[in-house]
Amino acid sequence: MSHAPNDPSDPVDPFPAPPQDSPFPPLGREFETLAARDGAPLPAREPAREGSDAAAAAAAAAPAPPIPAPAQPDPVPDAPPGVEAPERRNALIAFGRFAFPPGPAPEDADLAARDQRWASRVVLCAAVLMLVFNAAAIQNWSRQQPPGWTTSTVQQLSDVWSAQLAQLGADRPRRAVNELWTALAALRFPGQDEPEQGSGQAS
Amino acid sequence: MLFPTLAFGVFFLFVYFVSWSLDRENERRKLFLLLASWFFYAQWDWRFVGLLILSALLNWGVAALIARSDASGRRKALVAVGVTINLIILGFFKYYGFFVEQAGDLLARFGWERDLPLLQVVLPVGISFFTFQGISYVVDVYRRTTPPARSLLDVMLLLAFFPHLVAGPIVRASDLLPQFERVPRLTREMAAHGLLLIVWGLFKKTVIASELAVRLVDPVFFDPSAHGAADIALATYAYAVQIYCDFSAYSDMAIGLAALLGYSFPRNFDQPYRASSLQDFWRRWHISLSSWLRDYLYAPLGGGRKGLVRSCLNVFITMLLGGLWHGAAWTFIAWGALHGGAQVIERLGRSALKGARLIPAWLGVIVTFHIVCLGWILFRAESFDMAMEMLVGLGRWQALAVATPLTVGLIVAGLGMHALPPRLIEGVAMRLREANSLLLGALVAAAFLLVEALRPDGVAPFIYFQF
Repeated sequence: MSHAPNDPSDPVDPFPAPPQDSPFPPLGREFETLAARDGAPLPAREPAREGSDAAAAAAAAAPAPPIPAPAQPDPVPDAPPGVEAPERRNALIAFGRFAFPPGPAPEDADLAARDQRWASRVVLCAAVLMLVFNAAAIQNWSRQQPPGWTTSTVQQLSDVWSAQLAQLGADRPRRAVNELWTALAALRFPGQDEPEQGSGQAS
Repeated sequence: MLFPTLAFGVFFLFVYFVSWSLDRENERRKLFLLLASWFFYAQWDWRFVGLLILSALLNWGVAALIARSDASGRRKALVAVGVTINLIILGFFKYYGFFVEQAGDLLARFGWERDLPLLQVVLPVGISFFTFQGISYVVDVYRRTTPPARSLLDVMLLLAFFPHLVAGPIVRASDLLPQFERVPRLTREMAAHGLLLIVWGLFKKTVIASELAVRLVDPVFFDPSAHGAADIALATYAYAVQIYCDFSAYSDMAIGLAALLGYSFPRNFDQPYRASSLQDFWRRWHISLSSWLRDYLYAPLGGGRKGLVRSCLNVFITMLLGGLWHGAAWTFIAWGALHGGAQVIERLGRSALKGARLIPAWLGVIVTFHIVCLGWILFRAESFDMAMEMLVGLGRWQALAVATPLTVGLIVAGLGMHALPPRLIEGVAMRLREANSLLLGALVAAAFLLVEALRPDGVAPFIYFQF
């Protein structure tokens, strides 16, 4: 498994190792070094001003630091075209150090949480409104259950709940639509007999 | 516990809120969903939860052995064992009585009457669906089209996940296992889409399918000899609408419920009565089954690779076995043979005409629809005699007795929904994602309330539960 330079060698250690010394020359010499290696002519230096201090002259006369040898070509051959390099995985995750994989990026996680809250509000709002305007459903359900302490308790509670909401008129929308539907169901083609009793009555 | 009931509504609300409270702990969330799915299944018969667990254990074990093996012969032997075990489970529970009865009749014809060991085997709900899922998992691992599941929990949840457990769609391992491996995310589009599908499915099942079943289909199919041609023809059209609204409603609700839990299922219906050929019909009807039959039966038989005659034979065998999958009865086999035979004729016709079109597309839609309706008579009738009575009754003139303006209107509505834009619900969901949550909640509640006001008391089980 390949490691990035700062990856810990021991995967149990979660902290990165201290950075190593830079293999590159100091920043001021970088340009010259690169140009010398490539064999390009150096730009003309600005002539030294007269009376420059001795320290600067000494620095110019001092031998330049050794230029690092050009990097050897990589002995590992390139992958043939069309072959993708294997995906590099974080060593910590690969070794299962964390109980759960990391969550999405913070922005993404915030967005996901916001979407989830939005969806939960929709579901909750619909459920509460159904509880108010469709109270008869609980009553019907509780009446269809086999008798017992729980079902009789639910039935009594739903009876009270339905009666109270009916006084406020919360059952009117459902009843009005139901009556309209029942009237539609009772329609017959000209000359057709009346419907038989008990066949497919709407609630 | 049926989807369109209050008990299921309460159950789902509980599952929804608890599962999303565990959204940072995927393994615990999956475990909770598995327990909820077992609880859901136990509402029919708790003993069959053991069968579900056994099926998952067997499929997981066989797939793991296949994945570890490099020897081709060993892999083949293992996949054969896996498929056979699944077929034995399905065959025992679903076809044992049928085949023993047929064997008894056959022996009696040759004068060898024997007391065969007849058993009253209770059919576990949804067994055809979860055994087919098990087969697809084992075969996919064998074909290396899907990697084996990372854990037994994933396989158990794959087979038992309650939205698809009892009547599909047949969700394959390659569709669902990758989703189980990461924490699901609920986007606004998914939530709006899921809620719309649930409301739409509820409307199709409890209003259209139930009303048509109670007011028109059941009375006519119960005694066809008492009805005239108009009632029988309308009852046949009504059954075409009923079975579409019933089964597609279940699929819609299953997809919607899974979406609210953060999982995506494949589409199972795509306006099937718009099909202009039988081949087209099977690309639109019960897509998860037809694609399963294509990949695990038609293709291994040779598919269309071995010439025209062989491809015709393969498609006929596939449809015949597809008919038998629906039920252990000769009427289902005849239904499969009708669809297979019609597809063979289509293939031969296409080959003879070299791609030229014999009839315009709109006429193809009408012809296809009526062949499908003929098939539905076989599908719905309890025996060949009753199916024949229906067909004979089509020639008997009698005034309308059972069909009413409402039932005719529902038939028109059921067929008319095939003229809607194909991705209408997705389009509406995209618009609703921008809505205020309270406003959308009120709209959803109003839609539910409308359905509740229209639906008859009680709800019949879904037609496909028996399969």
